[in-house]
Amino acid sequence: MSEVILELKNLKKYFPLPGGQSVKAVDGVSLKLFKGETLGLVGESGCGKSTIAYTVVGMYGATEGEIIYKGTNLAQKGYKRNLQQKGEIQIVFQDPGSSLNSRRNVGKSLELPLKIHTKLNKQERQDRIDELLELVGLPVDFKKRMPRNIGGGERQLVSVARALGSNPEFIILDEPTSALDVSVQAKVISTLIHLQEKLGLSYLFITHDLSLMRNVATRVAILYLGRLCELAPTAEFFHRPLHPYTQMLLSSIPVATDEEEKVKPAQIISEGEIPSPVNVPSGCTFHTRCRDCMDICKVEVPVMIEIEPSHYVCCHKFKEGEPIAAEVE
Amino acid sequence: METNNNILEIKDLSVSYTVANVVTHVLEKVNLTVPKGKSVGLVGESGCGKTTTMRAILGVLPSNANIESGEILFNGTDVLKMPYNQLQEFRQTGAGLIFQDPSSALNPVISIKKQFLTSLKYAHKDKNYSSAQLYDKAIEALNAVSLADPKRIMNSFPFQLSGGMRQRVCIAMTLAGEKELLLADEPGTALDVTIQDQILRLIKNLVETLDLSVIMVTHSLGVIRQVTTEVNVMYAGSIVEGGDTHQVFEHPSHPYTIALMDCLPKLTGTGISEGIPGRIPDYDHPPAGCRFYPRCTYALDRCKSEVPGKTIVEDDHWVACFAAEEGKVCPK
Ligand SMILES: Nc1ncnc2c1ncn2[C@@H]1O[C@H](COP(=O)(O)OP(=O)(O)OP(=O)(O)O)[C@@H](O)[C@H]1O
Ligand SMILES: Nc1ncnc2c1ncn2[C@@H]1O[C@H](COP(=O)(O)OP(=O)(O)OP(=O)(O)O)[C@@H](O)[C@H]1O
Ligand SMILES: [Mg+2]
Ligand SMILES: [Mg+2]
Repeated sequence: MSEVILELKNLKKYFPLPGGQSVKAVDGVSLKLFKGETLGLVGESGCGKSTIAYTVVGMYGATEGEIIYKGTNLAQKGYKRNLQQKGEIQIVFQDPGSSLNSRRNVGKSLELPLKIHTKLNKQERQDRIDELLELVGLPVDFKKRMPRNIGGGERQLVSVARALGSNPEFIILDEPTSALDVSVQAKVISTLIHLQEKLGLSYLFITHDLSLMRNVATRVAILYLGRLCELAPTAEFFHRPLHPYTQMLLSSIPVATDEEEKVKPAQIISEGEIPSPVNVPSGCTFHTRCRDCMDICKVEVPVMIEIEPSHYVCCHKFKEGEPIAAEVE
Repeated sequence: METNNNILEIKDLSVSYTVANVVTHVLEKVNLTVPKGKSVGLVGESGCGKTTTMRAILGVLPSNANIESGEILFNGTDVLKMPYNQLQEFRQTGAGLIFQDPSSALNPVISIKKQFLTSLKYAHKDKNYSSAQLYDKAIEALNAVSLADPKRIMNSFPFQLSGGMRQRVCIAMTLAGEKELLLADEPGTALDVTIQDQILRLIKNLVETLDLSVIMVTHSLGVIRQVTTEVNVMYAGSIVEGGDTHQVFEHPSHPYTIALMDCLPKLTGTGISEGIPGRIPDYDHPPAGCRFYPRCTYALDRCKSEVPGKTIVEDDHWVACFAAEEGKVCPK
């Protein structure tokens, strides 16, 4: 595969609680992101997806581990990111309502990153703003509008335009369309896909919508209680999910038509106790809800293995080099 | 249909908003019925008026809203004509709303515990529960929406919880109120599919065992298919298609419903559509005839000036569309 743009090595982020305990929001995540790809990140609410995003963009300091961006470890103690690194790594937030300053018109919101990250003069900045609006398919006169006077999808496109202002190479999209309806979502997503092709961008795409993931991601990673449990190329991931949690996720997707119902695994009802990131279960953290739980799962933490080329899974059911049992197909 | 079988009947409801002396006619003669103990879906594009409808039912419309006409009958009594005391009673014990935006439903500077117990105290005010009993009820409800360590959550402030956790707190608060009618406005947007599935099962279970009635509002047609038996498709303030959920989704007949279903990313991996061209009309001068007319690929001349009535598509499935009436709409 192509060049690695970002690598996380054993990344951890804990939030201390009063009384000495802590929330282990991210608990040892390792992954690579390749140039030009869309890596999908999926997982339960509260499993640490946004925390990974915020740690990678530098809003939170890492508790432990490395964030290697183009060869530099951004998470090393005392390291301060330079302007270029800040500009190249951008984030688009979930909530289109609060992500733009409500007292600034769209033009002013778009100008700010240009002032910080470029040497453009006033006129050049105005030209660049027009260009950015055009890139995301919005009319140029949007510059003068206030955020409250434009729709949710349009606000989200403005956030994308703003992120593009600093010429990023890598954009984290934290549920960019979950507040939007399907028609507006389609517009935003197809714009993001066109931009990626045109500008060679890499995306870390966070969403709960697995049907959407099926159609946008190059590879998909599943996070459970701050740890990864499976990572695979998208088609493989949907055709042959291996981790019991992934299987449960896929079987719970709400679909609208009979045709889609047919391609979905039989329903596995989620049961068992849902653990908390404060008292993480011993062994495999999923064992309290796993229908295939074995004795070893309660005591020993499984390690991530590459079971097939590019298909990684972290589960005691699978051993490196051994064929995958037919029953999981 | 007999009136007494319906917990809610909305008849010809029209609502407008006034902004800087401009009147926008948002809801246009909305008719919607919820049979007792059933769950009914309301779907449609952003801005079509779903939340406005929910707020009208509870009588919590913003102050610049005007009810132009219509009735909202809850167990036969018009909510719009209720005296203040009765309306207050109806909100505290009759119907509960899960708000679309959980951050605006929770007060950021008050702990979850305090907010939860206050809301429960009103919902169960005639039952004389002690604070300890109310606390137990709250914990039970947080467990029911699959939140791990409910005690940590009770002692948290909203910012210490993830988006999906806040949303579940709101759902738990509403369900613990044990109302007769549940209005759920986008209850699953911030949740992952397994948790969403458990909450939808929980609601379905309450419908089946406690005769709870539900209006489920969402963009997710998959969620509608899973929990509702009937669905209403809304476009620009009017309901354009409705009936048995399965029939409507398998044989969508309004050009808008068809376009909406085409926008859904499919699990079969057929790619992303570009969305429906154009946008919802401005409500200050909505089209005189069918409101979908300017975006419709099947539009006929008469659609411009006449408002289509209901046409029966099949047993329990109707559509309001002249082209469909003439058999000229054919989904791909
Ligand atoms: N600032 C904070 N202080 C304390 N705990 C926090 C903070 N931010 C997040 N957490 C905790 O960290 C865990 C992970 O939260 P995070 O927001 O990363 O989840 P998420 O996967 O993005 O969830 P969602 O899908 O609901 O957005 C949660 O248990 C949350 O309560
Ligand atoms: N307080 C208000 N004043 C003026 N216009 C309003 C007000 N509240 C809503 N509207 C307008 O009424 C229309 C319907 O809004 P509503 O919130 O009911 O839509 P919705 O279907 O719930 O949309 P979404 O899917 O985005 O939640 C929109 O055009 C909106 O801009
Ligand atoms: Mg999040
Ligand atoms: Mg709404």
